[in-house]
Amino acid sequence: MHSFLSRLNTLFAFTISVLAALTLGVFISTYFEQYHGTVSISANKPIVKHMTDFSANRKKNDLGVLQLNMDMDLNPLFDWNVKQLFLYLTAEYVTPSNSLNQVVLWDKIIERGENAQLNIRDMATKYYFWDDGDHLRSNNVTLTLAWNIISNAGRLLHVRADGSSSFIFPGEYVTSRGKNSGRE
Amino acid sequence: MIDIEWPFATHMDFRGQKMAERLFQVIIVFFGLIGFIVGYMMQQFSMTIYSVLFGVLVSAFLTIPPWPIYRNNPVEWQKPVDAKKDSNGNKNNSSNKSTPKDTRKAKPKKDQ
Repeated sequence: MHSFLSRLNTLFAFTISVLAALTLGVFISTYFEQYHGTVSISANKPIVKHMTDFSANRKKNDLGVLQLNMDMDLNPLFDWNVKQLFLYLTAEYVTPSNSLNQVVLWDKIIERGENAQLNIRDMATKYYFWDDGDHLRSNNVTLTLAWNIISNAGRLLHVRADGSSSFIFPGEYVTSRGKNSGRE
Repeated sequence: MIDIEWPFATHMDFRGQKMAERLFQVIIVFFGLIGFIVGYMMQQFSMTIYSVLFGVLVSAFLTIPPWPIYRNNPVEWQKPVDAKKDSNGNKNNSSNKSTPKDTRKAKPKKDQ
């Protein structure tokens, strides 16, 4: 502690130790938090098309097209250890070839301080709803929302929201030149 | 490289160093606890960090510069003994026997 630089060094090192202890305290204070929430989702105008997926093989697969309505208030989820939320909407359904299919249709990152109350109407899906085959007609699809909690200090949590909804695709394909043009 | 000669005086005595170290530890822990409680109330971790940084500024101001309160117990050095007469007497004793008067004056005990 004698010289000037040695005092500065000791002060700095002690500050870092105190900050580490405080960060541990933040982690412990939010260890048992569950981060549950309720959302309401619904789908508008679901149709099925049968097209070639040019980004995959050249076979023709089913493409589902729908619009999303979502209402959620996620402000109570942001406590002092939450840095951002990563939300994603999954469509789950059963086909003869697979017992469970999950397709992500939409995702969003909400950072701390941004508006966490979403009221979305008639939004197109962010990602394509390709099926691995041609089993989407008359299929009962469930839409579920889940989020990842990204903390300041701690584990990466994955929580499924309460409130999922289902819809059934129509039983006929839609062609782009037919009467039901399917253009939203 | 670590021993830099600053243009201003930077020393404190040992009691002052102990006082300074204890003081900044207490200040930073105090501001850390206050910041933790405030951050928990407001659910904002940034408040905690700002509080600790403010505590660091306060302690840096109070403990890094060598204020006069840290110099109240200067080290008591012993008084320097005049060493010139000693070395002269030893040399004359071992080598020559000239000038016995000088040696007797300087170290009367050793002669006998």
